[in-house]
Amino acid sequence: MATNLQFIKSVEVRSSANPEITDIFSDEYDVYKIYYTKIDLGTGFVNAWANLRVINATTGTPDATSNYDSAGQMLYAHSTSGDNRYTNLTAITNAFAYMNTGPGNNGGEITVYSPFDSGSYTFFGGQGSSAFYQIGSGSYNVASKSIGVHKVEQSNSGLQILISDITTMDIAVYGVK
Amino acid sequence: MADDLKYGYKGAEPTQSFGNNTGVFDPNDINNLIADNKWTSFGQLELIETLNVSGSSTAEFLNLQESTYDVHFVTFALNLGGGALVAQLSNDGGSSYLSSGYQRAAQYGSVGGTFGLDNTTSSSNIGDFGSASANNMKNGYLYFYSLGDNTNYSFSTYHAFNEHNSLTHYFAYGGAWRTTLEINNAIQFTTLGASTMTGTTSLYGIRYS
Repeated sequence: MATNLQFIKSVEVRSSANPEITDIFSDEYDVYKIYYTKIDLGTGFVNAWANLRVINATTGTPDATSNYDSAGQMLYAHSTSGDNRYTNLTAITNAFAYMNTGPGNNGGEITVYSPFDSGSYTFFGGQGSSAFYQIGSGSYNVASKSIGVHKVEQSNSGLQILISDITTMDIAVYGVK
Repeated sequence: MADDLKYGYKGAEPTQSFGNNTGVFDPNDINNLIADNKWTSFGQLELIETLNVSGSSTAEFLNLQESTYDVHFVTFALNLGGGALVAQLSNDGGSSYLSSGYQRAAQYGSVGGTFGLDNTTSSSNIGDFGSASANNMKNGYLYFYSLGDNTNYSFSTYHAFNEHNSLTHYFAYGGAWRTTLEINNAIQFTTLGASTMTGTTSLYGIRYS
């Protein structure tokens, strides 16, 4: 049965810092689904946030201007939930829930709206599930529900993931037709 | 790649990959390229199975193809006679289902104004869609991640839109974690409280995930 989720690109990030996922947005689609799995960070990373920047389609470089807003709800299996909200930062913050050192500790999806449209902001929505490490007491599940926006009307062709030591991370990108 | 894949060329075969197929293909070529995940054919939300459930206490997906798909998507629209609807995983192909070893956290909210956190570090399931009285409808979707990889943990996320025995209409979204490194190769919906369900649920694989 033909469906309208269309594969664009998969990337296996291995032993990388701040990887760029390039040439994934185009005028072919307005809406994109990004799935991430198999996340394991370098030694010493505890409850890290992997933040996102868009890659400007004209310059080919990540946009590091202070034009990102984001908000997320962190749902902890062992504790009360927490709200994270940020305005005018240099990246979408905490878009993937938490990441840690250790085997495959996170999985989730991000939906991206209108990234290539030069007349629109780029919007993000996401939901993830991950392992959260609490020093001295063990690991717990944390689920996240997040939104974000890049408040610049520009055409973007990709994403940069801001985390300085990724051992493994698998990314798969699809267009929604 | 199979030796017979020449695609009309003599000598070296052109490199084939999704989005970059070159040559003239006969049906056998296409079948081989599909088997190698190298044939360009859009539609990567791939239906694995739809279950039409009628008056049973469980609905099982036994053919996850978990070595092919790293991300699974499940939709459900199930009418319960009572009890509570949950999802569970198996590590033995559905001979039994795991009733411990999960952690879970979700937000819920009802039209009556009750909002709250549904969380536990000792869960019997990887998705909980709440209690039901007779003819309560449970609708929603789940994602499952890395079920077929015993070097990565299995995670789920879900978002459901339900009728509840006390909260009337409500939503619930959140996620869960299977805390053992193992392959999970079957999924079931079941009704805690030995009730029955009627409706449909579908399992999809996200190709190339």
